[in-house]
Amino acid sequence: MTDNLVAQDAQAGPIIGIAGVDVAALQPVEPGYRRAIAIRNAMLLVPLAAVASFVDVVILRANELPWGGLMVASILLAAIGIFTLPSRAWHKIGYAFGDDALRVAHGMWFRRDTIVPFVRVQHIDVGQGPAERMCGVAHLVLHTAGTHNSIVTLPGLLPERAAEMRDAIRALIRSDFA
Amino acid sequence: MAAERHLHPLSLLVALPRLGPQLFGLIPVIAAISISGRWGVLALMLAIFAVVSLVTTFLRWRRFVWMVDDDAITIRQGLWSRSERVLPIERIQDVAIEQKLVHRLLGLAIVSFESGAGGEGKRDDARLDAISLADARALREQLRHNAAGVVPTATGDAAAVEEPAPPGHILHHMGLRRLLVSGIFQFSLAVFGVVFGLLTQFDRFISFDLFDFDFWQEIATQFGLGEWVGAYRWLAFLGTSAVVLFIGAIAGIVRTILRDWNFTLSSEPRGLRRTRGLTTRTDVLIPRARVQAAIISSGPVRRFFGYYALYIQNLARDDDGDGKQERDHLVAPCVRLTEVDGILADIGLSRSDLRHGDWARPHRAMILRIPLVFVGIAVLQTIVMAIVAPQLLWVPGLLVASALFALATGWLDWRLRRWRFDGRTLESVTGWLRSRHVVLPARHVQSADLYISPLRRRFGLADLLLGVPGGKAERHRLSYIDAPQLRALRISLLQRG
Repeated sequence: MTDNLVAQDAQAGPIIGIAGVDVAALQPVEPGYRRAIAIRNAMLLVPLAAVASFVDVVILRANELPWGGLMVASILLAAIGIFTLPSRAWHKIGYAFGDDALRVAHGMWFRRDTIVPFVRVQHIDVGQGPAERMCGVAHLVLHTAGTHNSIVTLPGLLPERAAEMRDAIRALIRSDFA
Repeated sequence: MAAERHLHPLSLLVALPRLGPQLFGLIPVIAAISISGRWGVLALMLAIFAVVSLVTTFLRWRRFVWMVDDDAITIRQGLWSRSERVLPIERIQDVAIEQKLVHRLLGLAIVSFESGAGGEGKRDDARLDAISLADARALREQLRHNAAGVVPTATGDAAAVEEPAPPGHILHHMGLRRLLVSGIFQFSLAVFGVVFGLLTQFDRFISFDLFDFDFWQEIATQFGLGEWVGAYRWLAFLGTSAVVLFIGAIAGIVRTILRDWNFTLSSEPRGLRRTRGLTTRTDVLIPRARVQAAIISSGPVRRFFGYYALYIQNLARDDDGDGKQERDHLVAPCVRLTEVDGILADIGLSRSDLRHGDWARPHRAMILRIPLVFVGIAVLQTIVMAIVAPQLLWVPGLLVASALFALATGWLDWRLRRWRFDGRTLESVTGWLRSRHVVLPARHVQSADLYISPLRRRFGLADLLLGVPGGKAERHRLSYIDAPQLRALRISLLQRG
């Protein structure tokens, strides 16, 4: 199964057709996105570790229960989530932007690999959350009419690149009907 | 390029009352401070809340920018999270203008756009809340011009329903006999449960409990009826069960008669037309152009007798007769497979026979997926129990028993699953208890996911998940198929689109 970022059939030229997107080498997203994931994880895990540590040191100790383990575990979890996981998750995100379709793949153990033909796109979002803004990246969202997976998100793009991709898809939708 | 525009300044006035509900979140705090009697702190807090709310409302308004050019509507918004949405005009299905009371007083209007994008629980794809009514009307006119041929279809269907019905030829009609057959299959365990519950309630009413062992034992000892009454206890239980079953069957038949009385499905130039109902008669048109997929489904008993229900997945939702919204339209509640074929032919679909044809099967590893989860939890539990409570080591044993049960049902599920793709239509069959045979033309596939979990990777397998308009999420899924084969299938499905 060729699901890594390793080029399977590295193409130099434009990626043509849906089959082209499928065999094209997946491109990595911006390295800055690693920091965006880290910030997002920190916003969740740091308060969690703080609460767990409080429970451990104050409540468990006061009741003469074995204490210390919960604090260590929660801090360890936060450290992994902030320092280790983001770069691994980043490494597993890849995309191929073709002439007719976008392919987005992500996930380490549970991997998901999506292809959306541009003719199926209903509308397009380019957005930036607070963490993303700090790291200078944006995300592109393609909305399709499908009930399953109607929203396909490609994170970790330079804002200019996201806008460029959006405009390309928009032009294509227009010519599709003209 | 068109100019960037803000919403109407008066829309700020409309937005203000919406701050009220946010104040509810503060009530506990307000109460706490009031009790302590520090009114100065309370006043200061309310002042800060008011200022922050007003400023953010204003900033939100400042950041909300919309513009219309030749081919798209662009909306830029957001204070913390910023987003820019582009709706290509060709994709706009519907432009709605709405005025609430406040809007009418101020001469404003909310404009919402529907592009037909999927997704759960969303209302519209873009919303201008609010602009002046004159602007709203001008905008709609402009869009009608640009998107000529697209906007009228949205209202076209409603008009079709109001037209005097052309007779059309009848595809399926339910006579009384079929209605009764359908009713018997409608027998549901839910009704069974309700009746059982009611009976126990009723028992309490008549001051003894039929299901209470002590009650019967008391009688047995009091009257010295001994063994005879012991046997009678079981007789009473059987009798009650028979009553419950009978009521369940009657309830199913009554429900079916109410809903499907004079059920008629006819073929019309625009699509399928269904009329049904005894007390509430409904008349629904399913336009041919909106048909996405067909689902032939059946329960274990019904399948044995050769009866199936046919559903059509389309963009609209159906009412199931009890006021519940169904995602698919039921076009035939109780039909033979030959009748299914007749209806399918009318909407340009066809199904393959399960016994013939080149059906492909999923990999056997599929059987393991749920048992492995149970075994995993059992192993973890064993470790924990060994440390914490060795006397409870039998508990993980229950999970192992569940794993064995899951292995059996997993095997049944695997045995009945199959799929085939003839280059135009994808068919898949799933479900060992309630079976589903889905017929999906490739041209309706919107997007395709490959999904690979550790277990699937171990065997070189993947799942294919297809996005199709309408219907339930996750329905169009092929599980545990050879990954390279599935990749090729994905490409051919998307290319047919």
